[in-house]
Amino acid sequence: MYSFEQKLEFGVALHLRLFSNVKNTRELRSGVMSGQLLCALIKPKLLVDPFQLVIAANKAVVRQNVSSLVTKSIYTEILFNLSPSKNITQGLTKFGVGDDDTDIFVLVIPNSDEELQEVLRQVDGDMRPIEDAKEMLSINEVIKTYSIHNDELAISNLLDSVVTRIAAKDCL
Amino acid sequence: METDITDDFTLWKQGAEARLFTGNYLGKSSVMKERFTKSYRNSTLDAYLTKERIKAEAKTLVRCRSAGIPTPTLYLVDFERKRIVMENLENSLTVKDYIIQLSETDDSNNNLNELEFISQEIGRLLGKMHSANIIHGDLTTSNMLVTQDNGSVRLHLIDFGLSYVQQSSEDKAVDLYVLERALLSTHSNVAQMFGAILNAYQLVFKDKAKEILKKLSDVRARGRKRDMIG
Ligand SMILES: Nc1ncnc2c1ncn2[C@@H]1O[C@H](COP(=O)(O)OP(=O)(O)OP(=O)(O)O)[C@@H](O)[C@H]1O
Ligand SMILES: [Mg+2]
Repeated sequence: MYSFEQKLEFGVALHLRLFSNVKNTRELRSGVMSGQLLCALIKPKLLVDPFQLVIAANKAVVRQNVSSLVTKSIYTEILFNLSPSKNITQGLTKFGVGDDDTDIFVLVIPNSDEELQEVLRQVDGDMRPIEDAKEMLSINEVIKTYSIHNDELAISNLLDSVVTRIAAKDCL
Repeated sequence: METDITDDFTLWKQGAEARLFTGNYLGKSSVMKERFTKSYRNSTLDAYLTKERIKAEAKTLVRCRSAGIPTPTLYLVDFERKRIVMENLENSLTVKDYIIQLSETDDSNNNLNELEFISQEIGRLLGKMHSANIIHGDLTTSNMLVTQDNGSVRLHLIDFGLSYVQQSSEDKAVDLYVLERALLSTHSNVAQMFGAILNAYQLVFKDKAKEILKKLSDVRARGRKRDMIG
């Protein structure tokens, strides 16, 4: 499966694509930072499953609709939500791609299909099946990043542990 | 107008402070727990308390998991709409209903084994919980869920709205006392069951269990006095 789509709260739809061998990461990043490219560029290394992104994105959408975002856009908010840290910059650098990254999850919450296609057209790389992200995942880094210990892994799968922490972040 | 994914949630249970709904949320079978306003309470105080309960609930869900205690996976915390959305532990029974069900079936040998097993599980999880200094605050048999999938029985703790972190033996003893009273109201053979729970509790919670059990007898004595006064 090359595309992943999930309906979130408030009628919002999340779209996800995975790319490898991306050659223009630097340009994409500056497009995102200047607000011209409407998407989040995420490192696959810390993503256990697309559901992790669904929970972080849905949380951002809910906050946008019922109160207000902590960060400046829905896309930075998603990166911030993914991170266990309350420091915004730290979240953005940990989960967002750097200029040298070539494996990228592109997450889009578009207003129309044209808007989605327009974003995807900008990416100079090879689209990959979403399942291939498993090969880019570092379970050890996930465990370290979210501070999950063996006592917990004995009773819970990794994904459930991660999404519970993302959902509960403001309460910890 | 777009419809919202929680629109087709159905009301499932109505509690004293919250309504529980079930439905599909982000592709998962879920329970939505929505707290409501208590009209007799001052509205600023009420909003504050509600937020504190939601916070306590989410925080302790994470703490319990970290301590190796199964709890439902959390999907959303929403202070504005006073709700949390979590995994639906499908086909689960509360410990209360599980005990009732066992007492109503015939196979008495097997039932004793199952009661013994679930008592040990309860004791073991509570020992872990108290070792981590987590006080549940409402430790009734309705706030423990049993799931059974192909033969293996698993216990989960829920309903952490009144929970907090505290080292004191007194608070732990009160937790145990609340459980004892709850068992008393459902199970005729409670002495045996509670004894098995305390044994397992002591096994995991070696160092401080003695002190807590001593406090427990104090708490019981105070409870009896209160009962006599009325
Ligand atoms: N995640 C879940 N999966 C399955 N059943 C659940 C779940 N959460 C709650 N329940 C069921 O709903 C009942 C009520 O839930 P809960 O104890 O959280 O609410 P409550 O007692 O009304 O809360 P409070 O005491 O904070 O007002 C539980 O006893 C249990 O039967
Ligand atoms: Mg309850």
